[in-house]
Amino acid sequence: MKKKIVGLAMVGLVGFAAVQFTSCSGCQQAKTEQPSMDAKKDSMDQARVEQLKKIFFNIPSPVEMASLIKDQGYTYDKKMLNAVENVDKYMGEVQQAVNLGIYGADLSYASIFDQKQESMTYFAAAKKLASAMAIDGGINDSTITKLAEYQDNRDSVLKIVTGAYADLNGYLKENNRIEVSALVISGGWLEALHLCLQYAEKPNSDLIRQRIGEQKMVLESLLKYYESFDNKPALAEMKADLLEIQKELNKVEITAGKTTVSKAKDGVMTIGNGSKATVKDDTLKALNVLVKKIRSKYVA
Amino acid sequence: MKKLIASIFLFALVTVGANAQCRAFTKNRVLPNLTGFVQNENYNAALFMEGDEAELLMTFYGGKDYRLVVMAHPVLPEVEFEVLDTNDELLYTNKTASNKNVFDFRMSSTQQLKVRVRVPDSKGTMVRQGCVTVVAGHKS
Repeated sequence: MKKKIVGLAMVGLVGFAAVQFTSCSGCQQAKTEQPSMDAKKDSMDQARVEQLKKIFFNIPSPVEMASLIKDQGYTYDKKMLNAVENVDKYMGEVQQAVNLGIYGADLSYASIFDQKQESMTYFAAAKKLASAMAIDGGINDSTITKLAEYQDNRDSVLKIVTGAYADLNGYLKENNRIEVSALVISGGWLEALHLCLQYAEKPNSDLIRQRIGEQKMVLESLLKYYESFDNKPALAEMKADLLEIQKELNKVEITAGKTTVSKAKDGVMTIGNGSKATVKDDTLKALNVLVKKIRSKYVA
Repeated sequence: MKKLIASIFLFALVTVGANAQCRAFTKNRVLPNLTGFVQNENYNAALFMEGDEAELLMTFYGGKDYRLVVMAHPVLPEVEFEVLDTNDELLYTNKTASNKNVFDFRMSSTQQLKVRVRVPDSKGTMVRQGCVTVVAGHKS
């Protein structure tokens, strides 16, 4: 065992030198390349598998919820968002991370509705939080400059915003701050749900209600992801809040058939199981009250 | 004991350093394949060894077009990926696809799907290690 570890250390030393070498300035090409180190598989496998579970996770983007709101013909409402003036109030990593996610969802909403100035303001608030949390990825001055440059092109703005948040999550995951990334994602999900709930009370909101009901599936994935962290204290409060929301969402009835795969006229593969989520009025009302209560605790 | 601690420390340093390069790999090699789609904010890239497998449970909304890009750095054998429903029914495999890295599809209803990614084992004595990235995007 000792020999194996020493052997591993040698591999590690060579690999570390290689990484340092490829990270040097003026080696741009090398930096974009993969470290071609070899390593012998050993008992660390299980730990790596557990680590992969923490990295590989996906829920739909808040942008998708925001675009549904716009597609249904509803108008932008600034009052629904977390005011950017609150940004200086947030202390402590948990509150900062959750609000970084909340501002991300608000930013997506503003961008979808082509609110140029609002998008810039929300991005600046997100940048302020990211800096306070010493996160050096995605959301920085150069992205703000790029955003200003492309502010007249909504698709470019969306690309910059989603790319910045993906890079931020990548930075967190690669710097052993995966719990912070989970909180950012949770904050974004909570805010997107909050926004949809506000529109669900308006007329002709069947599709919005359906999307809210479908969050039962999304939350299931999110909570499954939380399980991979065991009982990390930083995630305890949010996990308890998500479990509260799950109690309400479990009242949503989702019916589905067998999955079918077919080819559409344009040649695109189409997948579906005919699922339908039914949300009763009282469930929707209770969910709205609960989400408002939980959200206000974080944004206050 | 000192050697053991030093070994673990060095291994951690190498892993962190190499993982950091997965972001560059994702940005430079993977994301260009997502042109025309809005990228999902989740980040799914990590170092894989030959024989490693990972699974993602993803929710896709009905009425939307999606693109899934799964790529491994060329230092690794070509990555295999499959899309299955939650009953493990196989819906798609890249084994028979002309483009091994990109899968475009449309959802007629909202559904959870599993994306299973595997780096084949070349059965060599030394196991190669490299970045594997999974990104999803939707049409706006």
